[in-house]
Amino acid sequence: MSNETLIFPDMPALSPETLRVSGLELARGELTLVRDFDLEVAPGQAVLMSGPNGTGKTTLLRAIAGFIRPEAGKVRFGEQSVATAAPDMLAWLGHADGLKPGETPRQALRFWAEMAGQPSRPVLPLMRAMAIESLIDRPVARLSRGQQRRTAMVRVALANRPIWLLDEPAGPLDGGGRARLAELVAWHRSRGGSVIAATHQLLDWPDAIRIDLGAHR
Amino acid sequence: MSPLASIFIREARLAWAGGGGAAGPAAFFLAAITLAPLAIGPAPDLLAAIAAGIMSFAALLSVLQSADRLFGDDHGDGTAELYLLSGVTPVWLVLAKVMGQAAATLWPMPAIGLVGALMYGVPIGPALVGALALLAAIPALALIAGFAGALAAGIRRSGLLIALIATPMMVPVLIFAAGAGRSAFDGDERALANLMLTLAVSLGTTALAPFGIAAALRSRLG
Amino acid sequence: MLSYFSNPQRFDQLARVLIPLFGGLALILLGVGVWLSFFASPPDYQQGETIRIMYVHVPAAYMAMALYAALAVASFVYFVWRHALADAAAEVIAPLGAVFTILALFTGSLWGKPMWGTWWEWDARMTSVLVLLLVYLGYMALRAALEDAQQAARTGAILAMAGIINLVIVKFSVDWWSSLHQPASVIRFDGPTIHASQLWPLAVMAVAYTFLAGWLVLYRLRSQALRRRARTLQRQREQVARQLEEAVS
Repeated sequence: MSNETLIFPDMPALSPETLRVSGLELARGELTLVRDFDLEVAPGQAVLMSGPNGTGKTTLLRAIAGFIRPEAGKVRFGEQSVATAAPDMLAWLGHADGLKPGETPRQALRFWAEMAGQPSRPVLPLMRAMAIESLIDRPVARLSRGQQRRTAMVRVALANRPIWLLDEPAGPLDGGGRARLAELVAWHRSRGGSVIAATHQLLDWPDAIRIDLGAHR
Repeated sequence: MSPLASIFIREARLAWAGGGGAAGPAAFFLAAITLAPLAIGPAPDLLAAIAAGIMSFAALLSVLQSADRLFGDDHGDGTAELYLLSGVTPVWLVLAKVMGQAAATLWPMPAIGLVGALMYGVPIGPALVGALALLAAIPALALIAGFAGALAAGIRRSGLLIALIATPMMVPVLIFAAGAGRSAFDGDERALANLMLTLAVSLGTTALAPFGIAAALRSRLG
Repeated sequence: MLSYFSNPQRFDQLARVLIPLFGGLALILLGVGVWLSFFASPPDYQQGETIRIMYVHVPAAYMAMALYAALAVASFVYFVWRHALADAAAEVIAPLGAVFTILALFTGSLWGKPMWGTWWEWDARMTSVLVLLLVYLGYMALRAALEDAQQAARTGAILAMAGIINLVIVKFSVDWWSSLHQPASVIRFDGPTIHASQLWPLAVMAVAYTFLAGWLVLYRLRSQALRRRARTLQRQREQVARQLEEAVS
């Protein structure tokens, strides 16, 4: 990785909150995946959830995002529940990138910025930070998996939300991509944002809280 | 531009550009209209009498053709989660989405229905009524197809399942839309009533279906 | 979703009483009903002996619709209160309703043949029952296609509730559709053509079918509960085995 310093754009200030998960119990069918799970993520922190496949990493992330209703327990952002606050508090990166094959990064990112109520000005600087600015007008279908993932990370950053939920963010990324991802996350944390990532890869983020879901049954 | 308008335009653009756009349903519609006389026989009186029914029936099937992609794509590529997290009220969101797709792909249907009816020997007056009925039926057809597509989002080879779910729900709009064209052709004074009923079903569906679609979308994400 | 079948004692107790009760009542009433329908009631002055098929057909059609109403109610209860028993009931009712629908269609066709001369007539009621069959099949197909039990339950519930709204509109639209060509109404359920001697077999058969359906639903609910309990125990066993494996390695 070259020694250039990445320059991140100015974006409106975040209003960070502490994420509090308490007593979470999740089941898939009649199998309990997670029982009595507690987590507190303050602004600026990063959480890395690891564990073999099927242990509930994705389910946990989806429960925090509010896609799944837990059997028991609560997820709160500051004082608000996930149901009311999620759209304002969360930026989501799932297994899939959320990109349409027929659209270009420019079109996609401009759309999602609009949906997030954010300006489109940071698109190009963020793409530069992820080393994909030359691909801005290439249809997503003609991008590699790694390039698509980087575009999706730009989308996450563009939303300018305090809490990032990332499911296997580094999956298709090479070493360079992982380094850029780490820089992006560090920048986000320096602004007061927090990150929760589920990953079965080794990610080298400084001062990250590591949780092994294999031990949480 | 408001988020809803953005969604409408984006969905319309994606539907227009991807997967053949309007060509898909239109091509199917044309194929069906072409095949029917080959199956039924070329007797002109018969064809003219059944024209309204065939046009509505074929239009219904054409709408079902692309139903699995309506929400299936979003389910698979992660867009569904992003839409849900966007803060836009789900009911309005799905309405904008379905209407955007419908606007981009279903606009030729009334015109093709008109031409088809003329080809079947229907006089211009009743043929126009039939085309108008098709236009009135499009919201109902699109939203019902959307509902079925949302329920079955992401299921492999869901075409048959979607058809099975959607057909009972399309019965009323089919009866009224075809009835309008038929009544106009037969001259039995029910044409306007049928047309109004078609419109009523479309309006009712527009009011109710988005709730079902939003609920289905949510339930399939969990 | 979990809780109910891990401890189904209350349902078990109820089932233990109701299942033999319903079964016994169904048997008795069916016996009485069949006797009344086929032996103790007079032939119709218009249709002769063929009226007797009505005693099988009409209650079947009524059950087909009543069971869908039950399906919709169970779905609503599940959707609002998340009670696993409501979902299990819905899952169990659907195929039963489909069978009654097929029975109604089949016997309706048999009844119609001597009267209309054709095996099928596109009249309002038969067509509505045919659409009802499609609705049942769609519901069952959707549930079967979804692997996740929770999604199948919730999504199925949404479809069932939409279905009942739809059926009301379908009924109206099909009546409208057939009203242009209303045949002389031979099959009139209500009105002066029903004689008291015909009313009794009809009523008894209807109640008999209801208890039969109730018995079948409860019986299958109990098997469902046992099956789900067995699956839960199986999965728990697998989970523990996996944990041991990881702890060792």
